[in-house]
Order: sequence, then C-alpha cells, then structure tokens
Amino acid sequence: MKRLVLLLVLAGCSKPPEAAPLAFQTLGAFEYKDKMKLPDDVARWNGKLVTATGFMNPTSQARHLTKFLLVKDRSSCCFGKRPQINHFIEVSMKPGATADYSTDPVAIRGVLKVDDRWDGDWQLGLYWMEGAEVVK
Amino acid sequence: MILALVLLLQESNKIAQEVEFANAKDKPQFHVQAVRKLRDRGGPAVADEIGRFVAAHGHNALSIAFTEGLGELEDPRLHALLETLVRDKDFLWRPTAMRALAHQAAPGSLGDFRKGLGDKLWGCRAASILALEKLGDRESLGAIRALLGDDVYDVRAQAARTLYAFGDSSGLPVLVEALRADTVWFGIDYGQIAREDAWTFLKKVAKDDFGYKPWETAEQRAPGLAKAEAWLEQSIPDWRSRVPAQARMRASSVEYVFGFERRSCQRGDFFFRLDKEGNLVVGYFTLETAKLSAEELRQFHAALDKVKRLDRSIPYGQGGCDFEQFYLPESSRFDKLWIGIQGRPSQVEPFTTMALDLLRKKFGERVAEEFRQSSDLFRMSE
Repeated sequence: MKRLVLLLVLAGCSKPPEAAPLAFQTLGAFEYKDKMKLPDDVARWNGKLVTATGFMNPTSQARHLTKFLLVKDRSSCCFGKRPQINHFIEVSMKPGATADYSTDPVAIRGVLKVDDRWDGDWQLGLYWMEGAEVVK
Repeated sequence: MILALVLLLQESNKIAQEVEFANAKDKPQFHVQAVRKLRDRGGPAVADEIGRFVAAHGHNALSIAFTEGLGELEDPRLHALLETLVRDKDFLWRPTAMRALAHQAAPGSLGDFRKGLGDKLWGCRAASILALEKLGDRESLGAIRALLGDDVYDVRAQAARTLYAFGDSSGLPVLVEALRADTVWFGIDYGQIAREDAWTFLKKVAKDDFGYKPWETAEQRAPGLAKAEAWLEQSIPDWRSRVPAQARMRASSVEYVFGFERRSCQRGDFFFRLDKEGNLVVGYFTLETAKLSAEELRQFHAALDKVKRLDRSIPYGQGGCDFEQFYLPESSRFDKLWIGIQGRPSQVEPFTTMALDLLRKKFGERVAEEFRQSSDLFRMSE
C-alpha cells in the first residue's frame, strides 16, 4: 500500500506544471504612464507559468522565428490602433524551438516576467516570456 | 561656445535616434514612444532630421505609426512630405498618410482630398471625405453623396456621417440599412463591425438606442431594428428606395466551400469565395454573385486541387501585412494556406491565372484589374 502511495506521488510529481490561462485584456486594460507602479492584478502574474493567447506581430521573416511580439488583437499590426507598450509580450522561444507566422490566434506557454525594462530613455517593454512554446 | 555646440550635437543625435526608432522594423514597441518624443519636441530640427531620413531611406522605410504621427507635427516641410506620400502610389501606408493629412485639414490640400474621393484604396476615400468635412467643402457634396453607393461599408458610412454634419440626412438610410449587415468571412463577423459602427452613430442622432444590440442574434435584434426603421420612416418615408444598390444588405446565409482573401497594405484587399451551389461570390461587405457553369466549376476545382497538395502547415514568402490566404475545406473545418510577398509557390500560379480569367468573364474588367494589380507582389522571386 505504501509503495502504491509512493508511486502515485511520484507520478504526480512528474506531471508538467499546469499553466494558468492569462487574459491579455488584463495586461492591456490600464493606461500605462512612464515608470508607474503596475496594477496588482498585472504584477501578480510575474513569474507565473501561463498560456497567453494573442496574435503574432508580423515581421519580414515568416518562418523559424525564435523571437516575436505577441499582441492582443489582430488589427494591431496594420489596420487599427497602434499597440501600446502594455499590449505586447516579447516572446523568446525555448532553445531549439521555433515558430512560424500565422494570422490565426496562437497560444503560447511559458513563464511570464512582468518587468518594466528601460535602456536610458527608451522603454524596452513590460511583459516578457522566455522558454516559450507554441501550444496551439 | 564649445559647450553649446556639444549640447546641440547631443540634441541632434537624440532626434536622429528618435526618428530611427520610430521607424525601426525590428522594434515595433518603440514606434509609439518615439513618435511621442518627436511630437513633444517639435521644431525645425525634427523636420530637418525627418527630411534626411526620408532622403536616405525612401518612403517605404517609414513605419505606419510614424506616418500617422506626421499629422501631428506642424511644419510646412512635413505637410509637404505627407502630400508626397499620398501621391506616391507605391507607398505602403497611403491611407494612413491620407488620414494624417486629413487630421491637418489644410486648405492647400483641398485638391488632394477631392481627388482622393476616387482613390482605389477605400481607406483613402474614407479619409478624404472626413477631410472635406473638416474643410467645409460644400462643393464636394455631390461627389460625397455618390459615395453612399461605394462598394465598401466604411466609405459609405463616412459619407453618411459627413453629409449629416453638413445638415444633409440623405445618408441615414445607408446606416439604418447597415443594421441588417450579416456578412461573415470564415469566422470573422464583418457584419457585426458594420452594425456596431452604424448603431453608434444612429443612437446619437436619434438620442435613442432603439433597444438594439449589434452583437445579439438576428432574431434578438429584430425588435430594435424595427424601431430604428420606424424612426427613420418618420422623417424619410421612402427611405428604403433611397438605399443605393451597393449598400443594400443581401442575405449571405449560404454555405461556402472555398475562400480566397488577399490583404495588401500596398495595393488593397480582394476577396472571393465559392458557395455550395457553385456560385462565385466577390466582395467584402457587399457581395456580387455569378453562377459558374459545370465546365467552369470543373476548371476551378482542377486548379484548386494543385493548391491543396501544398503543405499548409508552413507560411510561404515574407511576413507582413501583404498576404494571400486560401481557405480550403478540410473535413468539417477550413484549413488556411498563407502566402506572403514573393512567396507564391509555382503550383498556385495556374489557380491565379484561372481566377483572373474567371473574374474577367463573370464580373468584367474592373474587378479583374483589381485582382490583377496586386497579384504580382506574391509571385515567387527568381
């Protein structure tokens, strides 16, 4: 019986951790002002394993992307309003993985970093996902 | 003196960096902030630097965000640059440049706006109407009224709003008619976009939302629609007969078996599809239909079969906002084949040739030319 319990515990441990579904709307719902304290319902996602669904911002490269920007709506690229800094997640794929461009919504799984990064006067971004993979 | 020169040089380097970042293809997250910095800074040094950048890199090095931002920079040289961009038929963001020019609404651009009413890009037509409204150009009212019958909803709606701003209610029938819009493109509900837009304006004019909710089902919307129609009937009893043919909503509840979508920032959009009954359907909001003969259908499917054999799991060509997309039936859903600039595989060429011939035969030279003019962008590079 003890062995069975141990086996069940081990089986539970080997299961990959569950990624929490992240609503892009939450990240982009506030008006960002330079170097502001981010709302709690945004900051709480820092360091969490999440699945975020959005649209790939197109670049001239369409295949084998190791990095790309995920934006919250289809029209961000070319046909609608310009995306603001809190409408982007900069996604870096996990080593060896790549993604191909698609006009469909894509779901990306990875650890989200909420970090207002600056280089001098230039804001580099707010949301970052590293070691990411496409799940849909 | 030296200190002043150093400061001037530093300032000049900063402006150069801001212009570069506002247009950096690999840093889209910088575009909005760079444009804001340039707008806050303003002044002739900004215009100097933009002039240098354009001279060195050409029009198509400009980003869409930067092009939009040009409208907020007040300098005669930048105004002249916007006019040049609008006139450059190969510029990627002509509709955006036209909107930026419309934002400035300078009397000197009147000629560009009047000409813009006939532009082949609907974004330019819509922006031109808005600009002429800002300029109070009553001489263009006749031409704007004619655009109530435009192929594209956005142009018709802008014409209706602008006419209303001039005290002319003749566009309201087009907006009330749009409350019936139900065009869906393989999962994208364009009908709802039109319904929301029309309703937002009408409820302000009527000071009543009619109890209509654009996002509800047709059945749920019916009472609100009847109320809106009754409201218009009070002032324009024969409003239905005043809706131009192109603005009349037609039932599109047919089942489609194939779709072709071309979206091009450079050359405009083009859509056609094939329905279950063998009709070729062309259009975006306003659909035109032509029955294909058995032989035409056979040729259509023969050319399409070659396309279907391609690997659809990968995109072809360069990424960006110019692409062709094929919607191909795959059991109970549609698979997409995505082709960017210079990416069209040779197996697709027979379909493109067949489609051009068919469009010419069924819908005439104008439609065929519209299809042809952006086709070359996607041909595989040698």
